[in-house]
Amino acid sequence: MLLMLHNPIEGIGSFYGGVLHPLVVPEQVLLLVTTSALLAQQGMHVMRRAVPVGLVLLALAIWFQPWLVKTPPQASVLVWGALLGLCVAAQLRLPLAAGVAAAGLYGLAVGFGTDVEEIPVGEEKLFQGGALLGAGIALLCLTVWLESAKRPWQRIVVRVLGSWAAAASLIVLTWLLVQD
Amino acid sequence: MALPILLHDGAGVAGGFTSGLLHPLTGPDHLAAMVAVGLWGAFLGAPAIWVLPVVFPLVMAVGAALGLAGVAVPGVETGIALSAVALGAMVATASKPPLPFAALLVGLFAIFHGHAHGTELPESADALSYSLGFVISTGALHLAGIGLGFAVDKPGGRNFVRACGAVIAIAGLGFLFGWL
Repeated sequence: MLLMLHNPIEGIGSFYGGVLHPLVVPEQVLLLVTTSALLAQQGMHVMRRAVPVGLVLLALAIWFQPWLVKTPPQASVLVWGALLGLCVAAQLRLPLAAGVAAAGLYGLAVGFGTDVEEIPVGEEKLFQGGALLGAGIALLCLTVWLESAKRPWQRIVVRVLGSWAAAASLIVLTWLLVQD
Repeated sequence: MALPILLHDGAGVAGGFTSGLLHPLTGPDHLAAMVAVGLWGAFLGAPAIWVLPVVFPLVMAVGAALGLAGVAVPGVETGIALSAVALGAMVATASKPPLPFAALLVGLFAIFHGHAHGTELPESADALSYSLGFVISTGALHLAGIGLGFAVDKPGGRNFVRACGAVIAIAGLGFLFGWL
């Protein structure tokens, strides 16, 4: 079951609709927050390598989305969101490869989740360009902003955010299982 | 003994996220208990100040999963009212038990709160945005309690915080016996 939104605000146009898409689709917001928080907790040395990988895979996934695959199943996104949320809540120190994988999966999940099926013909590239811009800038800004939050209470807020994301993901996962 | 079902007033509110966000705020028994969690965390100091707000949503997710799966938890409304009584009393009596006990007590009550939210969830328009809404709202109430609890370091603040706990405990008795 998928709950993806393709026209965040009616009449806003395809480009700006694309920019807002990663910020209003709940699954993509969940991945954005958890991935950014995880990378921020790992520090700048992980962010320098992981974020570019995430952005490249995001661009590739958005480009190939119309031909390769349909949007990823909601359950897989939720499992990933729950795992990331638990890691953030526990403030785990992970190896560099895990940070790179998290950023890469963010790029793939958001990219493949940017479905152009309902976009007016001829405006698909505008929508995709907007989505790349929105998702990319959001990942970059949120990660850098959270990394700069170094006070003890700010670190606590980041961990609490992780627990919220994990809790919401687990609840909806159960809901999906019950629906099936 | 009258057992008021105060937690479900948000059912008619349209929209998943808004509905979820308002759900904990429209049940005074739930609201009082959540503020008490934050108050108690602030009263206990580090690390309880972040452990309790992290533990609560994660265990609440388990309670919600039980509710969604149709597993009956006896005395849910009584448990929610008792959570306000017990947590308020902990603050009022300035109790400082070991952290595992505090986390266990808060986690136990989180099951009841989660179960009540979980049984409400299937009626929502969008499960994930509803869950995110009520988890965020619950967390915001914790933060409000922590904010109030910071008064403990001010002159006369300790008595103020204990008085807040007493008010919550008395309100909890009101919910329990149907006076409120």
